[in-house]
Parts: sequence; C-alpha cells; structure tokens
Amino acid sequence: MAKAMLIDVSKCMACRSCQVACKAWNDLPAETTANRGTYENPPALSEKTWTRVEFREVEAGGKVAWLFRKHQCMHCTRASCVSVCPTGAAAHHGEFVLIDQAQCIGCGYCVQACPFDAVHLGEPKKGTARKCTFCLDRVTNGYAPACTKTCPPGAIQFGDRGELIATGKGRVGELRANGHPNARLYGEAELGGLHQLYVLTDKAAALGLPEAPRVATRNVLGQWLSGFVTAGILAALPFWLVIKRRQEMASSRGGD
Amino acid sequence: MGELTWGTPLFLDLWMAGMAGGAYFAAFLIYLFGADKEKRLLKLATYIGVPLVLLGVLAIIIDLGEPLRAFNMYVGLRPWSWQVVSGSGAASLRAWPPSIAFHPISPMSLGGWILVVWSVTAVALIALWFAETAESPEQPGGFLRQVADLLRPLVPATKALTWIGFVFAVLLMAYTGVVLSASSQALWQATFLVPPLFVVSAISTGVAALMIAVQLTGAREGVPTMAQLRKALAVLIIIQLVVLAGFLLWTGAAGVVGPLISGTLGLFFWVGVVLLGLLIPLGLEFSALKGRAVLASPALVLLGGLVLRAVVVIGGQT
Repeated sequence: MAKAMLIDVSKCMACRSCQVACKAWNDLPAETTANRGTYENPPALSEKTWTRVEFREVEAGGKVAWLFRKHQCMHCTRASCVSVCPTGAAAHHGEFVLIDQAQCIGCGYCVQACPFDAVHLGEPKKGTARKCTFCLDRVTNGYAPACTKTCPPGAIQFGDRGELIATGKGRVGELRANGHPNARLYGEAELGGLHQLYVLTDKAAALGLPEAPRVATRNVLGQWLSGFVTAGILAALPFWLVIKRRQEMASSRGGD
Repeated sequence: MGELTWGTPLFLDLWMAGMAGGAYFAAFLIYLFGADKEKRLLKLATYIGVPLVLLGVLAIIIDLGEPLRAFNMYVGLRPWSWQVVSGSGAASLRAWPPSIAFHPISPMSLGGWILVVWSVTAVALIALWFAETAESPEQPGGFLRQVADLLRPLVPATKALTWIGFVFAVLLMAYTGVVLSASSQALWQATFLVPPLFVVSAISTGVAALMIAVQLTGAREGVPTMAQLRKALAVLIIIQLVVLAGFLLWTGAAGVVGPLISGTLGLFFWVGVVLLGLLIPLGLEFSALKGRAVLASPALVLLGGLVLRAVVVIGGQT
C-alpha cells in the first residue's frame, strides 16, 4: 500500500516544529537569515532546508486571513525531476522520489523542472541537488517521517494514501460547511497523484500551489519537432534560395 | 539578480554550441547546393566548430564544481546511495557492470550524447580530410604522414560522415532550445518558439562566424563569395525578427514575458538583441557602408546571439 502524508493547512499554526524536526533528523545545518518583517523563516527552501512553512496574508471580506502551508517535495507520481534528470540520479523508489547523491552531477535541471520549486542545489557552486526524502530511512524501518512526529495540532498525518484521501475528503466537507467554500483536497490526481496531500482552505493559488501542475517534459517531442521544422525551413529559405538558385542562374548564364 | 541555478557558463555553451551547429549546417548546405565544390567552407566550419563545442562543454563541466561527475551523464558506474546515510535494506546496488546512461526523455541526456557524436564526427572528418590532402607524394614523410597513410583507406567514409555531421548539427541547434523549454520556468515552457528562436539564432551566428573566419583566414578565393553569405545572413536576420516577434506575442499572451522585456534585462534585450544584434546589421546590409565595414554586421550578429542566450536564460529564472 502506498504511503503518503496529509497536510491539513486549516490546522497548521505555523509553529515550524516540522522544520526543526526535519533539520534534526536529516542533520541539516541552520541558515543565516535576516529579519524580513515576517515570521516566515528561512526565506525559501534550499539544499539545507527541505521543508518550510510559508506564511501568506490575504484579505477576505474586509478581514485579514493568515494562511500557512508546509512546503516540501511532493513526491509526484509523474515527477518532472525524474523525467529531465540526465543521469538517472532522480528516480522513484517505490512511491517516493529520491536523488542519488552518487549519480547526481549538480546540473540543476531538476531545479528548473520542478513545478513546486522543491529541489535545490548545494552551495557553494555547486553541490548536488537535494530535497525532502520522505524520511525514507525512517519509513522503511517502520517509523513515521520526522516532521509528522512533532506537529502539535496534528496537521500532518502519515499513513496509507487511500485512507488519507478519504480522511482529507471528509475534512474538506467540514471546512466547506464552515465558512471555507473554496476548500479542496490537493494532490489526489495532480501529476498522477502526489504523495503529499493537502487539505486546503482556499484555492490552490491562494496557498502558492499551481492549480494544474504539469510535467516539464509534457511537450518535449513537440519542442524537438519545432526545432527541426525551423531548420528545414531555413535550409530552404536562405540557403536553397540564395545559394542554389543563384548557382543555377550563374551556371546557366555560363553555359550560354 | 540573486541566485541563478543556470548562469554564464550555460548561456555561453548554448551560444557556442549553437554557433558551431549553425556554421556546419550552413556550410554543409552551401556545399550540397554546389557553391563550395572544394569544401573549403565546410572544412572551415568544422575547424571552428570543434573548439567552440569543446569550450562550451568545458565551461559547463567546470561549473559543475566536481568536473569528473560529468561522466555520470554517460555511464552508470557507482553504487546506488542515498542523500541520507542509511542502514536500511532499501538501497539496491548496481555497481557492476557499468551501464550506459541514456535517458531520451531528458533533453540534457540527449544533448550530452549529441555533443559527443557531433564532436567525434567532426574530429574524424578533420582527420580524413588531412589524410586526403596529405596524399601527394612530394609531401615529406614523418609521423603525420604515417598517420595519413593509416587513415587513407577510410577516406571513402567522408561523405557519410559529412551527412552524420549535418544531422547532428541540426540536433545540436535544436537541443539548445529544447533544454530550456522542457522545464517549469514560465518564460521557457509557455511557447513552442524557444527552439525555433535558438535554431534561427544558431544559424545566423554560424553564418556570421563563417564570414569572420573567411575574412580573417584570407580564404576568400574558391569559396562562395562573401556577398552570398551576406545575403543569407540578411534573410536569416529578417526571419529571426519574425520568430522573435512571434515569441514575444506568444509569451506576452501567456503573461510571462515581463522579466525579459523590462528592467535591466529588458535594456539588454532591446539594445543588445533587437537593436545591435538584428536591426543595425540588417540596416548595414542596405547601407553604403557594407563594402567597407565587412566584419561589422557579422560581429554584431554574434554579439546579439550571445545577449539573446543570456537574457532568455536569466529571464526564465527571474
């Protein structure tokens, strides 16, 4: 049975204990940051921060709402990083996506391809690509991922994906009936199914998620073809026209 | 501009690899259409293409930080390991035998192989052309002569190799665009016109590089006249203006063109790409100056090609 996490943003109180647990378990160093006028810290995911709570202030009905969302790798079924990786370092292991640090060359293609901005290159220029591992070392040994263990309000649940989807749908129903008409479950079908599911209180975009995430390589064949067609047209237009025809004209004149 | 995952080495490579592919593409067609019977232009394109491709690859490889890791693009040799140290049994070992790393869905994997195949083909062509021309018996003997003798039986393969070089030159040019468009960066993936834009630019910079090489090596006799190359360049510039307009309209309609055309980057785009790289060279073709300033417009086209790669690469990440 596929495992997954269910993150209920309506329960998140932005204590960031998930960030601390992730750093502690994965032995990730702290980052030096400066006050930016927000409790959100550090400012972005990086090669040493694999999960982070995003803070958003939105105005709704004359009131300010503070929206929190835990951000990390979504462990997509159709994963862009796996598609574009030139070495096969980014690969599925079961339902989870990992980056093999011995195979990774640090080219950064997965960083450009990820629709969720969840992969980052190490510093200084340039390390390998790093991201959330779903604590696979814990999960394969029967433990829950570190971030799920510390969440005081129980906003992060770990378990069987099918059961979590059912739980999430129930919760969405409750939220819709209680002043959150846009509440939805995110991740059930996106990119073939994510293994980080969200109960969202609002539209995906309001919480910084793409409404319809797409695989980076979805048009790759068409993109190649557009390049080839252009080369074909250019072979005809300047070269055939300017060189070949001129050559023929010159030789026919020479033959007279 | 903050932290760029892809910076100067990458757009330098896209520019140089494109130029190499474009120069070979142009020279091959000119040879095929009968205006370069001596293959002088084709040889010139190959001679300048090999160092361009190798320098571009070198720039990227050095930028990796650990250059030897680049071999992972081609072979899978090392045991599977995690990014976290783990004692669990989930890690499967595939240390031996080494496998070929080829992931056709990944434009970068394909691009890596395209670069290798084109470079090897080009080097082989150079060697065979050397063997061909070293044939005359009055040439003095020595080590190079022996190498030429050794290679001479392979000379009939030259024709097939020039075709392989042509096919891979097309792939090389297309790769420089596709590698960007297969991403989640808004500017790069919103349109199908990044590969066409880069292909046109590759061919125009390739023709410009050929014009400069012809002029500097004084190899003007026996190759198609500069006037023909210049006409081809003028047509290419007009086509590039059309493709660029299409690119701006398409990405503009998708609402993602902002970073490219505004601010500092926009200044570089409008002045470097549009004005210096396209409009002024085109104007020079129709001006009285064209006889005197022979190298001005190809030099500007080269500059414009470089700025185009730079602003598109940086603009996609802003």
